[in-house]
Amino acid sequence: MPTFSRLGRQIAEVIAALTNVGARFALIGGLALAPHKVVRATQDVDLLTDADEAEDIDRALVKLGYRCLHRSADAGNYARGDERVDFLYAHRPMALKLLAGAQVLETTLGRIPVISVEGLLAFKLQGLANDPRRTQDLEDIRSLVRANRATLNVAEVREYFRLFNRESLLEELLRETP
Amino acid sequence: MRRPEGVPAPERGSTAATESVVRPDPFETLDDLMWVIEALCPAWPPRPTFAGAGPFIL
Repeated sequence: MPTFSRLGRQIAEVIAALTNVGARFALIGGLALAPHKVVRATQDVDLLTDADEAEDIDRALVKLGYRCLHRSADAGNYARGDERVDFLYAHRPMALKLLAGAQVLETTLGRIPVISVEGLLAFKLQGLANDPRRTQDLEDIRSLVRANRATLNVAEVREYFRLFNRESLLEELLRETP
Repeated sequence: MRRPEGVPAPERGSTAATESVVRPDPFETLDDLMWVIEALCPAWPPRPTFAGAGPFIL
């Protein structure tokens, strides 16, 4: 059994618990950067899940010792000491499509469904649009475009940037990485 | 921190704090990084919740 970092153990435990209750989920946020060629430190486990399974997920997290800090139709936050698991609940067509398209990776931490790079860009963009002070999201977007430029589905990404009225930002990023 | 076989330690006085190691499993690389981060920062500060955040239009 390999020895993981504290975050590594947390990921493995949460993934196993959600898998056990049959929840559909996909890694998003800072952790999802790693399989898309951008590795940086992060504190939280961020997951996209089916909104219909929020109740099952709540029970699974509580069983692991987490307490719910906030929960709405769109998002939830759970904490156990200083460890956090944050959820975005997919209930609109776009998020449900991105959840369904997540790719399952066999990793040292277990079988982890990970959102596509285009989907990750969309959620990072949503974070940035909701709070422009979140400069980390902008840095992540820039790094993702740079690292995945050759294989990026630019047409799909353009739709997300259009949705958030940030088309000029995408053009700027594409110019930076021809 | 676990050092992959065949990867030398950084030289003394080197300005490079970390080494980039390409591995088939990116989560291994991330886990190695987190070992170092957690040693330097054993407890995380409080973070804001999603309360009041949005809109979530995706």
